[in-house]
Amino acid sequence: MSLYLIQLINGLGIGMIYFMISVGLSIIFGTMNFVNFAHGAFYLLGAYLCYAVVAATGSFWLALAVAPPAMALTGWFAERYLLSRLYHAPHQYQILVTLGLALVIQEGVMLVWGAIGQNVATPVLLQGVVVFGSFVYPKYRLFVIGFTALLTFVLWLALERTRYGAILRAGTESTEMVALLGIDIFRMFSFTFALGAYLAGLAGGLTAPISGADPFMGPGALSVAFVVVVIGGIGSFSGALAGGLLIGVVQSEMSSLWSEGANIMIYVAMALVILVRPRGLLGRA
Amino acid sequence: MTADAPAKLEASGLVKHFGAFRALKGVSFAVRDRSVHAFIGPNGAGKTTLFNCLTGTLRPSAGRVILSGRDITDLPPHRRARIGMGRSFQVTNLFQNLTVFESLRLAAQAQAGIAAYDLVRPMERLGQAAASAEAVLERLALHPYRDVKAGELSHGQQRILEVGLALAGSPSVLLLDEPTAGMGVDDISIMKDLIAALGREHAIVLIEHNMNLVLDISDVVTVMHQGEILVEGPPDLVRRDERVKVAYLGSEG
Amino acid sequence: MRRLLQPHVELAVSLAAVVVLPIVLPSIAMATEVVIFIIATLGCNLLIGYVGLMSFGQAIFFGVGAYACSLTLLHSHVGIGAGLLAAIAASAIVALFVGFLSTQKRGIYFVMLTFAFSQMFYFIAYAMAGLTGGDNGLLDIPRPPLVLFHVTLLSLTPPLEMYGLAAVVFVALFVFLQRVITSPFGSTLQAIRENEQRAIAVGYNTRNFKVIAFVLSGVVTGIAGALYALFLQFAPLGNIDVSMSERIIVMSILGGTGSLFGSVLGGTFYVVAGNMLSAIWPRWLLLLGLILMVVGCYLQGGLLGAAERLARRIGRRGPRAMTPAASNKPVGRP
Repeated sequence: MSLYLIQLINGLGIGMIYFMISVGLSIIFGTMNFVNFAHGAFYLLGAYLCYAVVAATGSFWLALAVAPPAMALTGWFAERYLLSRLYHAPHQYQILVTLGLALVIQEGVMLVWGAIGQNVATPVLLQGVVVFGSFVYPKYRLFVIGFTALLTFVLWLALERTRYGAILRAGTESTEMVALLGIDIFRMFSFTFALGAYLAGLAGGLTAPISGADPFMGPGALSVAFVVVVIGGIGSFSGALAGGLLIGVVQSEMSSLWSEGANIMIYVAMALVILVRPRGLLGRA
Repeated sequence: MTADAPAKLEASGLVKHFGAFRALKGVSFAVRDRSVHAFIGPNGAGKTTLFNCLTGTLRPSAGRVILSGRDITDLPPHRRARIGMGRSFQVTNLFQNLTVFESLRLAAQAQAGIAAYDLVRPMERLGQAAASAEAVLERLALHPYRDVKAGELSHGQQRILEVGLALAGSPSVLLLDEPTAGMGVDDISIMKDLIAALGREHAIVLIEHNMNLVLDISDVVTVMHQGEILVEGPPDLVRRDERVKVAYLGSEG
Repeated sequence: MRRLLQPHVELAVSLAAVVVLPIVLPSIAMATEVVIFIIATLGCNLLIGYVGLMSFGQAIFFGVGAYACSLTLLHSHVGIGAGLLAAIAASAIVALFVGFLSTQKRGIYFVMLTFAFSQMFYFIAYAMAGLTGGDNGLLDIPRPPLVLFHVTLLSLTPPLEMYGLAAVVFVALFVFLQRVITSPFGSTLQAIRENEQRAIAVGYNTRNFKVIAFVLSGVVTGIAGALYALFLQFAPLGNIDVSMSERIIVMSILGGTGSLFGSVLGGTFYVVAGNMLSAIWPRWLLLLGLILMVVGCYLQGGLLGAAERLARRIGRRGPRAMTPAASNKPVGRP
C-alpha cells in the first residue's frame, strides 16, 4: 500500500488534533482580541489529567469523560479570575500573564508527575490494526479521526443552530454589537474560554495514547495552533478546520522527505498570510 | 478675506465610492489663502469622507487635490504634513503621556526632515522645533500647562492642544475637524476667536456642526448634501437659502 | 517625564553595578551572563518601552549574532573585533529584513509576524546543520585575545577578562542608547508609541522610524548573542529558539520598560534568581510564572515601577510636596 496514503491519513488525524487545539484559540482571539499563550498548556494539562485518570482507574474512557471537563473548569477559572482583568491592558501584559500561566502549568505538571514523559496505554478495544485488503492501519488512529470528525460536526451544529452559537458568531464580527444587544459578553467570554480549554484538553487526552504525555508538549502545540489560526483566518471555525487539516497533511507528507523544510514552509506561509491576506485563506475579504 | 487671494487648497471632481455607495459625487472647490472655508451639511452629507480625502487618510476614487499648486492626490498623510498641511482630529487624538510642550515640540520637529533621524545628539539641538513649540504655547495661551501631560488637561484645553499640534508645523493650510466637539460654552468662544484669528494668516478648512460659529467666522460656507455641493457662498447667502433649510429639515412632507 | 533616577544617576548606578557584580555574585561567570543578558534586554526594551513594539524576534538576532561571530572566528584567523563586527553586520541585515516586513502590521499582527519569523529562522538554523551545527550547535569556538595596534589589551583567558569585555561593551551600549532615547529620533519613537496615527498626521514617516529602531534593537541583541558565544565558546541552537525571545521579553517587562535602567534590573534579577533558585529547586520556573502573573496584573511598571512607587510613597511623607501623581498607566500601548 502506498506510503503516501498512510501519511495522508496520518496527516488527517494530526490535522484534526490541530483543529481541536486551534479552534478555541481562534475564537478567543477573534472575539476578545486576546492572544492566549497559555493555550498550549491547556493541551498539556489535558494530556496529563488523562494520564492520571488512566493510571488511577485503568479506564481510558473514563479519562476521556473526566479530563476535558476538568480542563473546561480550569479554563473558566483562569478567565474569570485572572485573564478577564487584562482585556483592557496593552497586549504585552496579556502575553506576559498568559506566558506566566503556561509556565505555572508546565512546572506544576513536572512537580506532580515528574520531568520525564509518561505513556498512556491504548484502550483495549482499540488496540491492533484494521485490515481492508492491503490497507493496514492502527485502530486507535482511525478512532481519533472518526471521533473528532463527529465532534466537529456536533460543534458546527451547536455554532449554527444554538443561541450561544449565534452570539459567538456575532461576537467574532463585533463584540460591541453583541454588547448592544444586551448580552452579557463577559459570561460569553468565560464560556468561550471554557470551551476552548475543553477542546484543547480533549486534544491532549486523545494524543496521549499515540505520543504520550510530555511536559514540554505545550509550546510546540501552541506554535502550530498559531499557524492554523492565522492561515485559517482569526475567529473562523471552518478556517481552523481547513488550516488544521492542511498543516497536518503537509507535515505528515513531508515528514519522510524533508521535515525541517515542512516547518520552514509552514512559518513562511504564516508570515505571508499575515502580510498579504490577514483575514486568512478562508476569511472573507 | 481678500476675494482675490490665491487658492491654497483646491479640489476638483472628487469622487469616492465605498463599494456601491457613492459618498462623494464629484466635489470641486477652492480654499483661498487667509480665509475660513467651512463645510456644513446634515449627517451623511460626505463631510468626513471629503476631509479624509483632503488629508490623505482616504484615496479618492477620482478627482485631484491640489495644495499650493502642487498635485498631492497620491501623497500619503505624512508627506502632506511636510509640505504645509496641518490637521486636527474630531476625536481628541493626542500624545497622552507626553507634556504639552513635548507634544508641540514633536509636532514641530517633524518638519526638520532628515535631522529628525538624528540618533545621537540631544533633541535640544534642534532649536527650531523648540522655538516653534514655545511660539504655539504662547499663541494658544497654553503656557501655564507647558509641563502638564496632555492626558491630564481639561477637555477644552485638549481641544486647543489638538489645534496646536496641527499648528506647530507652521502649515499654510489648516484642516480642522469639528474643533468644538464636546466643548462647553465658554471654551467654544475661545475656540471661535482662535479660529477667526488663525483665518487671517492661514487657509482654513473647517468642518463644524455649530451653525452659529460657522456663520459668524467663515468667509465661505459650502453646504454639502448627499455627497454633493448644494450651495456655496458667503454666510449671509447660505443663511437665506431655501434649499439649505430643506436639506437640513428633510423634505417638507 | 518624572523619573526616579536622572539619566546620569542611572549611568553611575550601572557603572557601580558593573564593578560590584563580579564581587558579590558567587562566580564571575554568573556576572558575565548577567551583563550579556542585560545587553539583550536593553535591545528589547528599546522596542517595547520606547516604540511600543513587542517583538518575538529577539532570539533571531541573538542567534544570528552568535552564529556570525562564531563562524567568523572558527573559519578565519581574524581578531575578536572582526567577530563582533560580523555579528553586528549579520544581525543588522536580518533585522532590516524582519523589521521591514513586520512593521507593515500593527498590534497583535506585528507580534504574530515576529513569532512566525522567529520560528522560521529557528528551523532554518536547524536545517542548515552544515553551517550552524544544527541541533548540536557550534562547538569549540576560539576566543582570541583582544588586540589593538599589536598591543594585547585583554587576553580574555581569565574569566575576569571575558567579564571585562562584556562589561565594557555593556557600558558603551548603555551610553549609546541613553543618547538615542534623548535624541530627536528617540523622542519621535516615543511619539509613535503614544499615538502613531497622530505622529503620521504631524508629518513623520513612522514606518522608517520603526524599521530603524528594529535594526538598532536587533544589532544590540546580536552583540549580546556574539558575547554569549564568546563566553560559552559554544553556540547552541537554543540561542535562536523562540523561548529565548520569551526570556528576553520577560526580563524586559519584569525590570520595567519605562527606562533603560529597568533592563539592568530585569536582566540581573532573572539571571541571578534563575541561577540561584534552579540550584535549590529545579521547579523554580513555577515561581517565575507566578511573578509574571503578578507583574502583568498589578505591577505593570515592573521592578523599576515598583521602586518608583515606593519612592513616591516615602517622598510624600517627606517635606517635598509632589505635583499631581504620575499616572500609573502602562507605558506601552497596543
